[in-house]
Amino acid sequence: MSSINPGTIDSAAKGNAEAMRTLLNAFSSQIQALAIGTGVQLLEPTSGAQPQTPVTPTPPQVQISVTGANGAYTIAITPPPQTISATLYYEVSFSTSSNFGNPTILPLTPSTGFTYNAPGTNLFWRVRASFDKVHSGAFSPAGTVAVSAGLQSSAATENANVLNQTNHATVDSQDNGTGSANVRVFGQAGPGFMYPAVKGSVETIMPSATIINVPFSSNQVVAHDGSMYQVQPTLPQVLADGMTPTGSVSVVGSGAITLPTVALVLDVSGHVIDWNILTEGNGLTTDVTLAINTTTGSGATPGAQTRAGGKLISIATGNPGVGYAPGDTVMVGGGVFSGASGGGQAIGGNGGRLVFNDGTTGAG
Amino acid sequence: MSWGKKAGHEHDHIDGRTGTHFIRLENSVTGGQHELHIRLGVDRCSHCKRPFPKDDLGAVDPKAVVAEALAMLAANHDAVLAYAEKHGIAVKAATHTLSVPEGYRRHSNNSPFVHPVKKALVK
Repeated sequence: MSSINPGTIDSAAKGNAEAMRTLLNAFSSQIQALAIGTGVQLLEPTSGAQPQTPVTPTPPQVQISVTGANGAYTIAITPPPQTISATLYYEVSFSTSSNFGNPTILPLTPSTGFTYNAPGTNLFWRVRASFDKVHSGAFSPAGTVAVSAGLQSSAATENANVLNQTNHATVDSQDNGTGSANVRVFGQAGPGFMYPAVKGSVETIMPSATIINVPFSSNQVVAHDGSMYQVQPTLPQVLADGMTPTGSVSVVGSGAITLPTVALVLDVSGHVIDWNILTEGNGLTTDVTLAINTTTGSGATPGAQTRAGGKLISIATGNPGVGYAPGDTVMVGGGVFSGASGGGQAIGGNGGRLVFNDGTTGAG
Repeated sequence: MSWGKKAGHEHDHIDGRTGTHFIRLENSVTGGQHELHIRLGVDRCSHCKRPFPKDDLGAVDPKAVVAEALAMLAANHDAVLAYAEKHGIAVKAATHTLSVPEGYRRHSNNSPFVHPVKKALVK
């Protein structure tokens, strides 16, 4: 039976001190409970002419449970008992240290559960509650072990998500003349030069490479495992953790080159004023050697060669020499086979995606 | 003195699991690195793609492979130094290198840059 009842009131009115005490305590408890339940501010008793000052009720201590997985924290707040109908606002904060020096304070929320993304972090968490968003109760007990969010797994990403890495490598292939092909990895300065790879905000200069005895007409995917290159026939084999994809290559096929034919253009004094390309040849990936059959001339050397699509397009004039005759011929040799259809190259610097050559990138 | 094989089994060994002879080459001046992977394993018919074991590795000469690669890398290195010397441009060297190319000097004791020494003009 409630202590506030007609019998107790009647007894107190008749001067029963014990009844009066019981009655007043009961009224006090009821008022406290009402204030807590409604968030109404009580007034402190004062003496003299001083105005009464409010006593702001604050909620009791609340509990927080935090778990981390897949790069995110899941926060669950247990509301305090005996909350009747007032809205509670939770102030959640975290810190890298258990003493919460320099904490990060999240915006007040009435929600008792939410997630917070912070992959790769280890944090201590706490919470306290407020009725009026100004005065808060005590913080939840601090944990002794930080919670780890872990890292985001590939299963948690969207399809076709662009990776936060790229490189500026070229991956190509060449017939090595021994019945197989070589796959080359190099930077923009050419074979034998290293290249920069970028992952997030970190740039690493990666080694160049030559992989020898790769089967003709095969598809290969190249990646670096932190120690050396790995060359595999399928993409999934180079996507393990710790691997940095470099590029893919459609390895050249076997076959033979078609050498171009070249004739000299002479002036009346026997100087070589041009190297005339009669037929462009095919399958070339390196400069050809040019030698002049002559019994009277000397000193002429060709200039730079221009190739495109495996063909010799032009030869710069170079040193004209002297004494050449109209019957002098040019012997063409060298060159390295680029492969029949299916040969080609793959380029890095493609936003981290691996793509096979689409045949539009010129000589392979 | 520039490119050469890096010393130690870690940089010259055969991985028996993959049948690959791995060789790492290093430039003692710039710290540049180049990897050679000589595949010793299964080859395929270039026409029908059927795999068959490589029963004769006698034709594979790792010394020749290394020599060819070193020649290519040295040619690159010489061309770069010639360019630097012609235009008086410093070359960034490996931080651990003790090698300074002939005709160059280190910018300062702990500097990663080597600078071509200017030659006296011949009049």
